[in-house]
Amino acid sequence: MDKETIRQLLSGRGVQVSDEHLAMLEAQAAAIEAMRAALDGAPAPDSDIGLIHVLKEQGHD
Amino acid sequence: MTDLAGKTMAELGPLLRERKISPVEIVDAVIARTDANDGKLNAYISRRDDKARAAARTAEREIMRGLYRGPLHGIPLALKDNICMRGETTTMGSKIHKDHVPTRSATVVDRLTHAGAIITGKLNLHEYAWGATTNNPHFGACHNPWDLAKIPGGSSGGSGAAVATDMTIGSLGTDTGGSIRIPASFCGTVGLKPTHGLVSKAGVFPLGWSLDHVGPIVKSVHDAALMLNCIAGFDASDPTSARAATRDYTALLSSQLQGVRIGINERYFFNNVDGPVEQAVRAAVQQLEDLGASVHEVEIPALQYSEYAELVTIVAEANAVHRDNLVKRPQDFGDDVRFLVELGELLTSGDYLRAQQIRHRLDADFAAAFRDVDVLATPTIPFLPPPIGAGTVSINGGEAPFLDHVIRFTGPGNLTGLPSLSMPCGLASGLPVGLQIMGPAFGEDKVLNVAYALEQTDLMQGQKPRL
Repeated sequence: MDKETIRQLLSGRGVQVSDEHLAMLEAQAAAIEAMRAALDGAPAPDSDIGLIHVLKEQGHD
Repeated sequence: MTDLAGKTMAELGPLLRERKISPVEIVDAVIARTDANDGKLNAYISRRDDKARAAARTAEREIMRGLYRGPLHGIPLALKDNICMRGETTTMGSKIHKDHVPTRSATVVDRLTHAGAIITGKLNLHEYAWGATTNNPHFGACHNPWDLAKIPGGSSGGSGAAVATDMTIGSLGTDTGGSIRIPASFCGTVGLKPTHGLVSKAGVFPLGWSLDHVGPIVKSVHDAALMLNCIAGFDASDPTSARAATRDYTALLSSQLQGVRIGINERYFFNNVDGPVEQAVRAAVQQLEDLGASVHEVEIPALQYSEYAELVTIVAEANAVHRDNLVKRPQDFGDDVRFLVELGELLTSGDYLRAQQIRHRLDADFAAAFRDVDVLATPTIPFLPPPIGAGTVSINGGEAPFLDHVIRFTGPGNLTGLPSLSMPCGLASGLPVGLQIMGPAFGEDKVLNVAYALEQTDLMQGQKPRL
């Protein structure tokens, strides 16, 4: 996602961003995209999410 | 009696109970220490000297009449300034909330004051607890008491600095990605993030609802257990509060570790750790073995995805908390916090849900590990405290982004909700190194016991910061 795309996206939501932050957001968007790519092979989605599961597993409701 | 401010709760409690000292003397000692030190540290945002002295006189009268309430009666404590206290300005370290005066206290504050604790003031923090430096643009930077040019960590930086320099006997902090354990590590104090749901968050300003925790930052492991005794337990006003059994967390403290199994995860928790930190932590693990524990390697495969899950969850949830002000009054945020709230706009709903799935897998992987070991031992932070204002840190000569790496080892405790404690395990280059001990859900007794046994070996050799 490039700076102009980010600026338009955020401006459309009423969020004004400085040029300096636009550059930082562009870098972070690339980093997030790389992290998404690294999720290939991550655990398959399932239907049970959140913290409650581990607490039940260990005998605490 | 000399140096009352330098004592722990566990040392002061019996003296108070036996009427050998007065709460007034302790509060006066803490105030004197604050007068002497805080000009250099900037740990307090607001002080309650007169109210604390009045509360101390009340506590003194009660104790003299035989109405001793327990180990926290007459003990001065201070609160991170995102924890509400009725009638006391609670700023969240922000310009936006600089005049906020709560009409009710957080449940944890009610529990502490009902136990007789005396609140001496509100402590500096990273703005809205959204960061780990406590370089606060609205109330000034808080400084590390071991080296004033370095950060104390955060977001509970004022808590870490105040406890380390005897400007309070103990403190309450909050922890969403490591904000209790990071300042505990950088300041050489003990910080305990309890199991998610064990300690109420009602009346504590949120950063990331599903990651937030409240817990003690104190001078000793015994003091962490004493404070946990007071603040743990179900609270109907917190929807995430657990109906878990509580116990006397001081009862099982022992210097024996025979039969205790310590887990080590080399692949994640000892990867890319700065040399002096790794050396101190491995020496502490060896000390645990010398005390009779056995050490075992454990696998936690989902940790490879935990940095993504932590980043996505905290950024998304904090965006939800602050988005309204980002649109209406963005200029009132500090620059770094404003950027992090903006960053939340770039995440997708798919990112957030995938992060929660990874948390589920982490839960399962940690639970499997804790079938083989009692606790895990890790470094708290992979590097030593950096200078104030530094955006990057040095790890074995390589440059790394500060925020990404400072929560690398603490974040999994927030994602899973598992109890995690940081304790000092030595000095490197004159700065404290933190050892993190993690346990199974509601296994605070195991975590505290291992930490207590190690503390008895005096790894810090009695060293304290000199201002």
